[in-house]
Amino acid sequence: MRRLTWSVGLGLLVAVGTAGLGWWTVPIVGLGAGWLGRRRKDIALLTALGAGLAWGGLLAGLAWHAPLGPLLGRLAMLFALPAAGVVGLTVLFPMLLAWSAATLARRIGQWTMPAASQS
Amino acid sequence: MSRIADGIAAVILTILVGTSVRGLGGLPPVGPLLDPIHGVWATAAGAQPLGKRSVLLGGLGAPVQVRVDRRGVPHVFAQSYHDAVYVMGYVVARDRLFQMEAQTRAAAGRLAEWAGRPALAADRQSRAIGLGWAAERKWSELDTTSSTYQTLVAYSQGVNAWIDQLTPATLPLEYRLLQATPIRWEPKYTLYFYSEMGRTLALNNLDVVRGRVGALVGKDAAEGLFPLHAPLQQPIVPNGHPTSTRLPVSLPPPGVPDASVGHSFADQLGVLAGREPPGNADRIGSNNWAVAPERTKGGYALLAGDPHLELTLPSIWYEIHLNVQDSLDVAGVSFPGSPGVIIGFNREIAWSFTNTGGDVIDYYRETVDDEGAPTRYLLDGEWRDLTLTPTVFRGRGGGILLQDTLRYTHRGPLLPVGEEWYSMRWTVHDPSHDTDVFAQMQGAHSVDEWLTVMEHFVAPTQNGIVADRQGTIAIRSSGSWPVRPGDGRGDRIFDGSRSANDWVGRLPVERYPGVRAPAQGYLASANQEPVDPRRDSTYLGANWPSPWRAIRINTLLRSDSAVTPDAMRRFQTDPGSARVHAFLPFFLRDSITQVASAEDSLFRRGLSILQEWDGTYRGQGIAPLLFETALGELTNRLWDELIDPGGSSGRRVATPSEAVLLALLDLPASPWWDDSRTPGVQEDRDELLIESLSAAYLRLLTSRGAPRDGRWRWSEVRFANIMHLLRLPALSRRGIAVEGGPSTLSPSSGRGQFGASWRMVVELGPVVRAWGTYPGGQSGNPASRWYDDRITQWQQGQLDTLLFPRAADDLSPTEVVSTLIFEGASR
Repeated sequence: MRRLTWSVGLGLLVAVGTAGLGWWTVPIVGLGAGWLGRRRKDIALLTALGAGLAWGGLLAGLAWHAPLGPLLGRLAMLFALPAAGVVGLTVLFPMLLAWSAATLARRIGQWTMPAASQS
Repeated sequence: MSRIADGIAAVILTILVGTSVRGLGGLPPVGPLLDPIHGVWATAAGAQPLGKRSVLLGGLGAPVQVRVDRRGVPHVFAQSYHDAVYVMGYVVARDRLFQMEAQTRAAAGRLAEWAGRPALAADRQSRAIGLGWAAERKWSELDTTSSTYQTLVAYSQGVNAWIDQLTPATLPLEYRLLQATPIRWEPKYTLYFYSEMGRTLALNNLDVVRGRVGALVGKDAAEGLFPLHAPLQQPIVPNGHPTSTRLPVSLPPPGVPDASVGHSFADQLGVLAGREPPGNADRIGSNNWAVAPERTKGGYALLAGDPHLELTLPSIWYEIHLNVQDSLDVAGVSFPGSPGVIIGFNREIAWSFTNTGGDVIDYYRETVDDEGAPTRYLLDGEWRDLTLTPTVFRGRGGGILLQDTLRYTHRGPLLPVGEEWYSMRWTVHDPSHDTDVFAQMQGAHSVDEWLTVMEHFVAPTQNGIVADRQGTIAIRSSGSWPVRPGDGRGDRIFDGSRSANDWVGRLPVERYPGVRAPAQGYLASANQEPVDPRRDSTYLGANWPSPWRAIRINTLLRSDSAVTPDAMRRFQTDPGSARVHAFLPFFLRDSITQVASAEDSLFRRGLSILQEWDGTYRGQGIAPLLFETALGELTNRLWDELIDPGGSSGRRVATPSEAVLLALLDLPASPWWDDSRTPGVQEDRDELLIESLSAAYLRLLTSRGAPRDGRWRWSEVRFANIMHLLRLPALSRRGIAVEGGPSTLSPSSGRGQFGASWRMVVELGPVVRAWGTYPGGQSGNPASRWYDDRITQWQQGQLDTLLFPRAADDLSPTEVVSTLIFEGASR
C-alpha cells in the first residue's frame, strides 16, 4: 500500500510539474525522489512507475477531449513506429528518465550518509 | 551488481537529457517533443473546434462574428472591410500559420534559416530574381493612407493577434519539428506572397528556349519547332470557327548549330531564373468556362473554374465567406497570406482565373565594367552605376552561410551567367495595387464593373472569366502587357547597352484579349493562346501550350445546349481527351497497319488494344498506358536531335509542343523523322510510329506482364501525390488513384503533384448557388479532421454545396461547429 502511495504521489508530482513547467520536471522529480527516498531500495522503480502513470494519465486526459487517432497515425509514420509504439515511447521515456535520475540520486545520497545507516 | 545499475542509469540519463536538450542528428529534442502537454501531442488539442468563444482584439471598430461551418469554413460578419480583413487574418493564421510563413520565406530567400545549407541554392535564386526586392519596393512606395496599405496592416494585425495568443496546443506541429518559432507577420509579407505567385505563374523562359535549341539545330529550325503562335488554334476569344483550326507551320530541317548563342548560356540562364526546360504544360494550367443563360437548362448563367497548381498539404487555397454589412458579401477561396477572396462569387457575379502565360519578362545582355564584381553597366555609351545591395544568407541558429551582393540595373536584377551578366525586366517587379484590385473585384455588381476593376491589375497576367445574374458572360486576359520597340517581340535576348531596347509602355486595356457576351453563348480558357493571330497579331507571347483542354471544353459546351450545374461539375473531371482524338488515328491508319509486317506481333497486339479504345482515361482501362508509352517512345525517337551531345544527362534541352508534333505527322517524309542515331538508315513517320508502338508494348510487357494481368490498368500508374510542404510522407497523402490523363480537363501527369487545386461551379440565378472543393482541408493541423477531409470527394469529382448565408443566424445550428465573437479591446 505504501508503495502505491509513493508511486501515485510521485506521479501526481510529475503530472503537475509537466503540465506547469514541462518535461524536465521528470528528471528533477526523479532526482528529488531518489535523494529523499535513498533508504528505500525500490525508490527508483516507484519513481519510474509514477512518471509513467503521470504521462500516461496526461495522454489519456488529452484523448478524453481531443481524439488522438489521426495524429497517432501520422506520428507513427513520422517516427517509423507502430501506433502502439508511439504511445509506448511516450510512456517509456519518462519512466526511463525518472528511473535513471532516481537511481543516481539515491546512490549519491547513500554516499553522503554515515556508513552505519546505509541500507 | 548495483554498480552496473548505476552505470546504466548514468548512461541512460545522459542520453535522454542530451537528446531532450539538443536533439539527435536532425531530430528535434525528444523531451519537449513527447511532452503530453507542451509537445507534439498537444497538437491534437489545438485541432478541436473552438465551440463558442469571445476574443478580444485591439483595433477592431465594431464586434465581428465568425461562424465556422461543419466543413471548417469561417463565415465572417463584420461592420467594415477593415474589421473583416482583420479577423480574416486571425482565422486564417489559426488554420494556416506555418504555410503563410513558409511561402513568405520562399519568396524572401530565407528557407535556409529553417532547413540549413540544403536550402541555400533555392534562397539564392529567390533573391537573385528579385522576389523580395520587388515586394520591399512596392511596400515602401505605398501611401500610408491608401486602402491597400490599410488592408495589409489590418490583415497583419489579425495574424499577429493569433500569434500573440499561441499556446503549446496551437503552435503548429511543423514549428516543433523544425525547432522554430513563428516570426511576426509584417504587412509587406502579403506582397512577398504575390511575388511568389509571380514566380509560379509568370516566370517563363521563352527567351531561353530558342537559344537552347538553336545552339543544336540552328536558328531557323528552332523558330519552326518553337513557333510564335500555336499551330493548333482554339483561342480564348472566339475566332468564328466552332472547332479548332490549324495554322500553316514551317518546319525547316535540322540545320547548322547557331554559335551565336551557346546552349550552355541558355542552360545557365534558365537554371538561374528557376525554370527547367518546358515540358508538360499541364503542370501549371487551369480551366475556366462560363455559359450564358440561353444555353443553360435553368436559364441562368453558369460559371466553372478549376485552377491547376501544385497540390500540397495544406492546400494553397483557403475557403472563406466575408460579409460586410451593406457593402460586401463574397465567398470563395483566398490564398493564406492574402486578404480577401481571389476566386469566388458574391450576390451578383462569379469569377475565376486561368493563367495567361503571356511573355511579361525579358533578359538583357549587359556590358559591365568588371566581369567578376561589376559596379557599373554601359547604357547608350555612358557608364551607369549599378545599385549594389549586400545580402546575408543565414542558416539554422542564425549563423552566416554566405554573404553576397545583389545588383540591379534600371531594368531590374542583374544575374551572372558564366562570365556574362544579364538583367531582367519583369512585370512582377512593377509597382501595383493588386491588393486593392482584389478587394474591389470581390465587391463588383456586374460583369462590366468587374472588368473595369480588373483594368488596374498588373501581374501575373490572368484570363479572368466572369458572369453575372443579368446573364452576361465575359472573359479578358488582364494584367500589364509590355509594349516593346521594333517588331514588339520579346522571345529573344536583348542588347542591354541600348536604352532603345527598353519597354516603351503598356498595352492599352482596349487591346487586351477579351470578349463580352459572345454570340456562341459560352466562353472557355485553358491557358491556350488568347487570340487567333489571323485576327490580331499583337505579340503576347510565344510557344503557347497545345490547346487540348480548350478544345475538349469547347466540344463539351458546344454539344450541350441545356447545361446544368451538375454537367459543369462532370465536365471538370471528364476523362475524354482531344489530344487522343488528334494522335490516335495516326497509329490506326491503314498505311501503317498494312505496312507493318504480319509477323510484327508486338505491334499487332498493341494495335488491337488501341483499336478497342474509346479514347478516355478511366481507371480500369489498359489502352491509356499503352498510348502514353507509345507517344513517349515516339517523342524520344523523333526529337533525338534535341539531345545535348555535350550533356551528361542524355535529356533533351527542350521539347516542342505536341501541336508541332501533330503538324509534323502531316509531313511523313520530313527529315525530322529520321533517327540520327541510326546512320545510313532513313526513317520516315510510319516507321517511327510502328517502332514506337512495338517498343511501348514490349516495355510494358517486360515491366508489367501481360496486358490482362491487371498491371496495365490506368489506376495502377496514375496517382495524385499531395505532398506536405515539408515533403514529409507522414503528413502527405500519396498514391491517390485518379482518372484523367495528360491534357484531360482534370490532368494527371508526371509525378502527380499538380492538378486541380480548387473546383468551383456557380449558378447565377435569383439565389446564387455554388459548389466547390479542393484536395485537402481547411486546417493545416495534421491532427484536425479538416486537414485532408476533402480529398476523397475531390478524387471522386464530387463538390460540396458552399454555404452562403446573408446573416450569421441564417446558418442552421446543425451547420455550425464554432461561433467566435471578436470584440475590440483597448490597447
